[in-house]
Amino acid sequence: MSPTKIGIRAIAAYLPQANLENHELVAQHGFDPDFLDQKLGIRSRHRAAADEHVSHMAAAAGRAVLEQSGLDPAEVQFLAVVTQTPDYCLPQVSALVQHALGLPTSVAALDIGLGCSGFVYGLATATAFMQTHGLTCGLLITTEAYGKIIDPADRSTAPLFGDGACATLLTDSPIFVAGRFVFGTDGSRSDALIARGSGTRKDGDGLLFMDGRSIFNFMMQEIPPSVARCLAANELTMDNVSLCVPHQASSYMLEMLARRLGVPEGRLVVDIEDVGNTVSSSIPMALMRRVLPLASRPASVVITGFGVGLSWCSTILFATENT
Amino acid sequence: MTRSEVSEKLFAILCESCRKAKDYPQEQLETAVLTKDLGMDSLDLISALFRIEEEFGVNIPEEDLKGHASVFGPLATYITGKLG
Repeated sequence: MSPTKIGIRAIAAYLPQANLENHELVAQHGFDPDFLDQKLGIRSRHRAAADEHVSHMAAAAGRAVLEQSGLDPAEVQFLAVVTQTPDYCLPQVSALVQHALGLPTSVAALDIGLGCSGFVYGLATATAFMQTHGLTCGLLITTEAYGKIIDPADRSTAPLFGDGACATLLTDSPIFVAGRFVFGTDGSRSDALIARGSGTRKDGDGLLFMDGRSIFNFMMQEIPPSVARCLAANELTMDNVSLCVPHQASSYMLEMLARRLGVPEGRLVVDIEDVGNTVSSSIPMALMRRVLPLASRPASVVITGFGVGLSWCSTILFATENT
Repeated sequence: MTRSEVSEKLFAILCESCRKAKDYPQEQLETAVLTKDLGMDSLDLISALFRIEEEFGVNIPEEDLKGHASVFGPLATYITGKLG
């Protein structure tokens, strides 16, 4: 007997109340407003409050997706939380979220420590886990508070990243199922995006450092062939996919990547202006806000996540006939 | 590749990354500072360097860029020299 196909049923998000607007960055740190608006394509980004942590944001997003789907927490059998800015080194955030949401103690819960590739990796992990173990209702929650590890005056990172969480409900009556995945990891370039001193190795101040040039080169070198392999594995070409939702790095990065990927006009999804780069939540956020509301469900959507690690992962979401 | 062929190709790459660059007077190009004169911001520069390395098959380390390679003419000479 083949396992039941698990896929995406619904997505909900939580964004912290506080907004960091461009005019504040300009006034406080002398950022160039045109660069922020036009190059990054970001006008504001959310910041978690001092006493608000990724488990709180994850629980809020999880609660929202369960409520909108009319599900009782007792029905959830699986929980994966993707984060790199956990409340604590231990315990795992998924245990805090299990308790906060009132999920049953029989739930299988785990953390995935990935950044911008985390949603796509998480989708591969969660659906495979659920299918293998015969589970039919799960949550994949991406939650990040990079604002807590950013130097507010750092030109590379301060205007770019936004805090927030997305909860993706995975069930056996999905509206989208994932096709074949293509994965990648290159730890030799791990120092291009790193928070030194943030773990037990005390070799830095714990703040995020990004080498923009290395990250740009990585994106342009690794992601197009990865997406090409993914399209081939799913017997598609870029011309016949409905939409392309890459990780929302910045408007400029998206434009450059789309050009190299050969994304046809009008099929690139950009959703960054009022949230910034929300790390592992950027793809589900774009799906929730730009794809799911479409009157006609797109037949196929390329998703590709890439970043910290360096790590990357791509797949295709195929629409089902479920309503 | 000759120095003038390098210059021509280099200018085309810079214009791809930064539209403002193509309005710069050609006769002053040799002394144009990429950021200040051609109007390239940090992202333009990053993408131009990627394309330069790709098109010419050369490696431009960060420390070289901070020195002489931040001006159009010296950058064209630097690339021509790397091409040997």
